[in-house]
Amino acid sequence: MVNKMIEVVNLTKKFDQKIVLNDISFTVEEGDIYGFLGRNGSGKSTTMKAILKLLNFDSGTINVLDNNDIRNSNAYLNQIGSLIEEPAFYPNLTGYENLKIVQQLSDIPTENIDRVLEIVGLTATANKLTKKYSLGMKQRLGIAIALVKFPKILILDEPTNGLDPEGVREIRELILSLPEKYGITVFISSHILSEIEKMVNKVAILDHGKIKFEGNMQKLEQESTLSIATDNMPATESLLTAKKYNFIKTEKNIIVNDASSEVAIAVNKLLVGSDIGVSDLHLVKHSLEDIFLKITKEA
Amino acid sequence: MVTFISVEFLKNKRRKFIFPLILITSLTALWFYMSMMRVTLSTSSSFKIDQNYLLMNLMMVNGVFTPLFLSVLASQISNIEFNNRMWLVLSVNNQSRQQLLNAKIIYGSLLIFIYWIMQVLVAIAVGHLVHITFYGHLFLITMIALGLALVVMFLFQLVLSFFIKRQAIGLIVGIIGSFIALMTSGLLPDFVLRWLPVDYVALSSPLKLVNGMQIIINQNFLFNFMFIFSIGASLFAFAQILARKRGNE
Repeated sequence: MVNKMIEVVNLTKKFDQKIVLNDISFTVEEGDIYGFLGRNGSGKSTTMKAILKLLNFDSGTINVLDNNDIRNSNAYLNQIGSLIEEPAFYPNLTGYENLKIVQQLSDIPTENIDRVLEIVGLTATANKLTKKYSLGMKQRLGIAIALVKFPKILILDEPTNGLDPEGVREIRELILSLPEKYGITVFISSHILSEIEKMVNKVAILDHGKIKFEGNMQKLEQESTLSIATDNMPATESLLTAKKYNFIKTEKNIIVNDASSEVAIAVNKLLVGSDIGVSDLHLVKHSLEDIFLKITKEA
Repeated sequence: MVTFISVEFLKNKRRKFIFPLILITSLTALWFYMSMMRVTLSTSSSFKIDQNYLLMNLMMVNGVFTPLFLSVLASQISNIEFNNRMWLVLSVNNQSRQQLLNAKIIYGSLLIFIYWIMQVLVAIAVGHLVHITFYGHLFLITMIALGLALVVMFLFQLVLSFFIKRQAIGLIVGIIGSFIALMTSGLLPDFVLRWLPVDYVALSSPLKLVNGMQIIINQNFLFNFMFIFSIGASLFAFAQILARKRGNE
């Protein structure tokens, strides 16, 4: 049975009278790399902070690690590592010393420090003052601080912010390895959608405090469109309207929304059967970015 | 709590705020020594150079420098969390705001204890240099009163620095406290000093100057001592409630 690592049910949060999270629900299961997407100010960080009890919420429930309501205890925090907004550490200390602080507070074995330094590739610079770290090294240290407990859940808020392409790739490969190698479930937000697309198996799209989409990547990828060009466009339009297809007409072709291979076959049969010459009919698979923009623009 | 205090020591490693604190402590000792020597060597001094004079002088000098010392200390041990956004990291790693506050109270109190020990040693050394004999319990009482005032003033400064992000506020309050003490030599009436937690060293003194030249035991000393203690206890309780109320936010 797949364990529910994070289950958010009908979560609502207001700042003053402004609704920041509006009755959102989603579930992160064990082994997931779960992408949490949304524009700036859509409520991603607020949701993450609510899960970490860094802010109170107005209504709803957050269950962690199989139905443990976070309001009942703080013990679950021992099983969660997090990097929220930007890496935070003491600049007057070395990377090792910063990890030592978390190790002492969390009462975990000292060996975890060396282990995590190796995982994030900071072993050679562990004794360098963190104020002298490059941006990429700081980001890696932030992830190391989140990982040093070897938690069951890792919450990462924009972990690739400000990194160069090589740094982004390194962090991506690191995150991808976490579920399989260390049994860590990852809940990650990012605005670099092309990166998220390469990492996650599930995704939720948050817009204006509401979940606009939640599901696995396959489901999202099925949200393709069908591009059609025929020798009789008015007749094609009439047929599609009669069969209640959701489509839009452009200058050169007709775009059928929410298409799949099955829809393509059915439309092709319909057109050919009606003696309409089909000059072009192909599925357009959208990137996560296209779908994200479509969903958030619809609002 | 031992872990939290050990973490406080680790996170303040290599920080330079200890140098201004050493400087202020040295200045306090030097100022006290100079003022004692000046009066001792003066032929026209109207004061009797004895234990009472030394202890009153010690409290006056401390009244000037301790508001500054304590505001720098409280601000520096608090701003390390604000400046580096460490609240989040600490709170998701088993340290609540209340535990953090208490760790800082103990850490700061340890540094204050070192400062207090220095004052005791300086008072004994200067007393020895100017041939003053200590007798009775006045020396001990004065030092205990100084210790209490230091801790309560530190609590006051820590409440300002720990709960208000703008560290300038705590520092300005400390500077104002030092300025008032310098301008008045701690000779403000007790009922005024009771409203100024930042100048409690002057209020805690068991000695007071009357008629400009006579040093006598302050009849309000015990009341003032208990008053300062009560304010300290209230500040502690207030800080605990506030820290708990703020939680991890």
